[in-house]
Amino acid sequence: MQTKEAHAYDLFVEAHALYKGKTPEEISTLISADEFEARIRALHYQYMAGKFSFGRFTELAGVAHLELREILDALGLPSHH
Amino acid sequence: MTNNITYLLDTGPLSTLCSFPTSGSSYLYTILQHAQIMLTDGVITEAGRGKIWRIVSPLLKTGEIQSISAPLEPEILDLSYGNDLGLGERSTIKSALLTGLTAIIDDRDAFIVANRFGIHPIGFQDWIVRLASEANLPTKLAVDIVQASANQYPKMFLIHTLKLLNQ
Repeated sequence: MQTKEAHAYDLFVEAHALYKGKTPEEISTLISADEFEARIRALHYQYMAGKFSFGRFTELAGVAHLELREILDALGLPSHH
Repeated sequence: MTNNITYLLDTGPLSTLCSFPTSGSSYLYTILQHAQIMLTDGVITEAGRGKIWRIVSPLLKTGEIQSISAPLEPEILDLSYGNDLGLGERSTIKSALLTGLTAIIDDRDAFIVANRFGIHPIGFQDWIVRLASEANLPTKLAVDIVQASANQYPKMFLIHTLKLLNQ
């Protein structure tokens, strides 16, 4: 049974690869699951604190809108204030 | 070409329309029967970075979705908010200023900034309500769209939106 964190990481690898024009293998080599989760949770904290918009959040996370919502959903994090 | 009103969509509402299929087909196709949609170059860039591009790209090619290049002005929008708002949000605000079209913006910060520039965007759920009341979008379908996408919006909005749709 895959954990929600592992599922979110898989979604991120696919989405970030599409966003960057790289392969999923390249992305998973560059960014580990732990690094991904630490980064996305830190950005989410700042987003919820009103530091930037959801559009800016997608740019900083390196994934598109729909994909970021799916990743946050997989982690149990809200995508709105 | 229909007489439907044209709306400027930010990437968030566009993604919402692309992500909730009805009968195996995105809600975007249904909405296009009741409204014309225009996307800025910034929104198109953002859409092109994700999987909604598979839906949006053919509609841009056929002209079923219109496009516009956002103006550079007002430059203060990029200078003051470039680190806070995304490319799509900023280009949507600029284009709404230029064209006078109603912008559909969901993000709270972008919504507030748009108002600071004197445009008055509406959120996705209010847009669906408007299409139901003014553009013959069937109420049942409007309710389906609002309910299917409800988890993307504050819970407190849902009951109010459903009441507006059933008036």
